[in-house]
Amino acid sequence: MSAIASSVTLVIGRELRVLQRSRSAAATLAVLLAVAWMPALVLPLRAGTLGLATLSDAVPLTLAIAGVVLPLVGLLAGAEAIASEIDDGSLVSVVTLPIGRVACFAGKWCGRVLMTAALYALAFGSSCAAMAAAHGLAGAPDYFTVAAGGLLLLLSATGLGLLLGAGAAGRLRAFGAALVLWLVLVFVIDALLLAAVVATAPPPPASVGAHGHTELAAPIRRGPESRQEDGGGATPSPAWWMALSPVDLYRLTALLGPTSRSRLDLALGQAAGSIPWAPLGVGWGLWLGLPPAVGVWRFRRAILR
Amino acid sequence: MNAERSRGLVFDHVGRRFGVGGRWAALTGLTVRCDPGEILCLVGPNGAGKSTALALAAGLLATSNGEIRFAGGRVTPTSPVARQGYLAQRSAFAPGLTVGDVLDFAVAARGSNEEQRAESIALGDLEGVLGRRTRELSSGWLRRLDLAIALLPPTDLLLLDEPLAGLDLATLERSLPLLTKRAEEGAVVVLSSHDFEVVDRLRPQVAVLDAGRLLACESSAGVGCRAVYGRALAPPPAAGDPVVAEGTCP
Repeated sequence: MSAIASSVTLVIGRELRVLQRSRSAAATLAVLLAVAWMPALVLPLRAGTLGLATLSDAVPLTLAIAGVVLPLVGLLAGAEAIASEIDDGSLVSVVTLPIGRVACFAGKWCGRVLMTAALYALAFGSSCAAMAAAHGLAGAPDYFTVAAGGLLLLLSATGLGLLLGAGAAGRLRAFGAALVLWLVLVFVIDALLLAAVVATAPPPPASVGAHGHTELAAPIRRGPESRQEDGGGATPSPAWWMALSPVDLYRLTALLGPTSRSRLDLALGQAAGSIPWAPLGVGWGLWLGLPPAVGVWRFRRAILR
Repeated sequence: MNAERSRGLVFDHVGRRFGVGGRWAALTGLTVRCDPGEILCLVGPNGAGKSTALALAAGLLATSNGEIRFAGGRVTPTSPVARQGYLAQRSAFAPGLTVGDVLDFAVAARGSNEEQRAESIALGDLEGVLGRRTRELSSGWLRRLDLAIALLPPTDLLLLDEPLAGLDLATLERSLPLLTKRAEEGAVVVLSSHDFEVVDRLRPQVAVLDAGRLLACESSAGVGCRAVYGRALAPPPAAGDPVVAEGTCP
């Protein structure tokens, strides 16, 4: 094993041991359990009964809650990972060993990602298993699509949090920056995108309003060729604009579920097969890969004392 | 000074500024050298720049001017000395880890053997606390652990910021011979201290710093650290003086 790989492995082990005994991992698990179980428990209560929702019924509420809460959890947990150790000085005892800052950051990122993924699997796996045991597997592919997209969202937010913590002057500043970024990702970009989609949408057909928001999603699903037919010209697909935020990318990913897809195709009269794979692939690749890459660059220059 | 050819640690006109626009100079034009096998002790009043100089040499900070070299290679935050032992002024470890976790991590990272691990445990008398979490330890125990890790071989460069502060007498008596031993093995040892009588037992070169500037650098042999310190600081330098003395250890 190369020197850097063995250093990264060492730091991963350290990070996992730190997390096993930390309150932040316990808090993360509690929030993830709440996000995963709330739709399962709340929906029957709204209907006036006790019990668990079906997987199909839980999908929309899970999507709505996860899209808001998971970025916050990831950003705060990621920011805490490095900023708190810079603050209390404990990272000095790591970087002054023959580890190197690159391996230190990479190890902390990998450790966080592994632990976060494990906690997420525990939370969503348990709720999914309970709902499946109560009502069967109907809707499982849709639920799995939403849950898998949620994991990507959580991991990308964790990377962004680590990036913020890597060069921040103190834990409070890192948390402050994480909160601001959360507001931007969840609300500001969303509002701007919605405004852009409305402003650039082709003239509404006679059936406007009949299918709720599906008209807005039409150009996303149909791709550039069909927009050419619509007279949309060279305007980039809104799916690419949605890739600007991991939260919107998550919502786009949720459309890949078979039920969502068939409902959308029914509403739009489109055949399946027009999924915007390129924006999805490029978007997730960048949101998962870019923050740790920039974070390493930032951490290499960070003041540690 | 033939800094370029030195196999040891060289501060070459090193400056470090802090604050908005770099308005506060912690270190100005420090030029000093310590060769393998030597012990250099940085002394001076609080705020003299001793800790900053050590943090720069450890690659925790970047210099604002000048450069630091070790064995001919430049030391920066992106390229620190690989085989270094650094003891910070304030010992801190991830609170969830046990003493054993911290020590084993250092042993694995440094590639130390079992005998060297045992030597470190003996130095800090840590055997009885290996299973305890670092957050449960007093500052004295944390200091022992930190010192044990800093002195864990193999190291080519030891940077120790007030290593003798907060240690009990028994640990102190075990540490001093080990510091001398590391120097005799060929390591460059740089430390800061206010405890002149104890430091005299190491027979170091003494570099006197004040307000970020080097006032003097000479051997303490025969005269002692206190005499070197007293000569350099009395009478006190006039405010705003340029570099009073730019020395290299003989």
